[in-house]
Amino acid sequence: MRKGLTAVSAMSVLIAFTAGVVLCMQVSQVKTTTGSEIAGPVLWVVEVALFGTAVLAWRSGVSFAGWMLGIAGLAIVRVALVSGGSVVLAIEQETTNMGPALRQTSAFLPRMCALGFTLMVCHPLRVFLPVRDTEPLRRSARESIVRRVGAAAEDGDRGLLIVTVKNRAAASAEGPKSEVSIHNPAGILPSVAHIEGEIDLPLSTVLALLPEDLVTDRALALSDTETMTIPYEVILPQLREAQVVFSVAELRGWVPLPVRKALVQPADSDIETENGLVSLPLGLIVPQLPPEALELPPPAPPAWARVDAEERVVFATV
Amino acid sequence: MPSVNYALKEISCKIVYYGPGMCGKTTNLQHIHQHTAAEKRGNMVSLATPGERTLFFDFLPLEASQIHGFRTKFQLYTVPGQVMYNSTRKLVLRGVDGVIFVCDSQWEKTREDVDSFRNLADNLASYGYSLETTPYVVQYNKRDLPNIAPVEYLRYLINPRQVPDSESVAIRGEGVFETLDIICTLVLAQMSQRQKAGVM
Repeated sequence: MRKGLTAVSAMSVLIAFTAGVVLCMQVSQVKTTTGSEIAGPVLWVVEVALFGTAVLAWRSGVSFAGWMLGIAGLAIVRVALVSGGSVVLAIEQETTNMGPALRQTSAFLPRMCALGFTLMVCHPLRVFLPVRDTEPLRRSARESIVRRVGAAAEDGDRGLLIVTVKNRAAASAEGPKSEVSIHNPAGILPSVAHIEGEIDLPLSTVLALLPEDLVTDRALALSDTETMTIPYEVILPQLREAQVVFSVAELRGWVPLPVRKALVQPADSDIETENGLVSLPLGLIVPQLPPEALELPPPAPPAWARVDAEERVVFATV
Repeated sequence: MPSVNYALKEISCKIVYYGPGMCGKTTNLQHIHQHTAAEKRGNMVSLATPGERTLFFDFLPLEASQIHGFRTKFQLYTVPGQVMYNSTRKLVLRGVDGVIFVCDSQWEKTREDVDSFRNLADNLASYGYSLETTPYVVQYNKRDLPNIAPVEYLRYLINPRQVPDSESVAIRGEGVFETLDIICTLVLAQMSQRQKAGVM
């Protein structure tokens, strides 16, 4: 199910609501004086404060409108549970007068019971709360690990990056160095060209590469005509590795805002998913780059290649 | 280093086709085997899986024209491209005189090309050879496929030194002999240079 709310979550909402109604009705029949001295308005203030805290805890980066919506939603569900309990109680007592039943289910204990179930019912629904714009995420993407590795290669020996598995003893003797060694025989490759510009990728192509559970149907529908713009500065350092790779969290920063909002939000996906790497199609990227991005230094072939052969080898072919 | 037998007036060189899995190394060799005069070549030895993946290596002895009165013999080898067979690749590289690095031009294979080229450099280094001293040429294969990277990008990835390179469609034989000619010429030229310098 490609949605923020999964089938399992929807089922749990339904079960929690039903259980809440039944338990609220049953608890209301328990004779007790607990909490009877607390006034109704005080209980409402406490409940609203609790709802507000819950919304903030559940949904990091929630907008103010989202926060208010969350509180209102929780309050409505709480009232619905108590009302539902009173309806069931009235049916059980075979009466059409709802007044006594409603007073019974609005007592302290059933109300607390409804409060607990309200939180259970609403927790899976938190994904629908709107969040603030994720500009900070975009900034962090620019400082990505991938980019840092590329920059390290550039600042260093400007060459092919080779990951070498070193002898453990030798490695420890050399001290705490990076596992990535920069290998550039004869300083062949030029520095990464500093060219300004951007490439555009069809958003639907990029979304198809993201983990399936992050992409909602709405995001897919919105992505049809949209493109994702990625600056050269984060692509060029990766070109010599024959792959352009970004984490899911980084890619979010380049997704146009309406589609980004329609994706399953970072708060609702796990860290592994957010850090998961996505390899973008080179076939769509390289053709968009200017020729100078792939410019090589003047030819400097090794000595064996600088030959003026007097005689060529000839094979007897048929 | 090519071996020279002055008594028999014979020069023998070892050429290795190197590259990622399924890039067309064996196809190169098969084309050469099928299109050289029978009296100038030996039998092609190939150890492959039922799926036509090279299991150990392919071998084809070949004789070329005489140079300065010396018969030139080339032993052509391929390596298994699959990552897990590195010890075999290393073994095949022992005593190599020249390498043809076969690139798969398809976009999705470029990463494997880069990895394989680095693996070549590492394996050569394990014998004290290097790409600075061992002649090699780069062959951009499968140029007939639709989903291929431009040669400029492949050159940027694999051949920044700008050693001789060529495009090929090994399955149709295009560019196969051209690449072989280049490496053989380079190997013999290097041998000649060394002889003049008194290294051999």
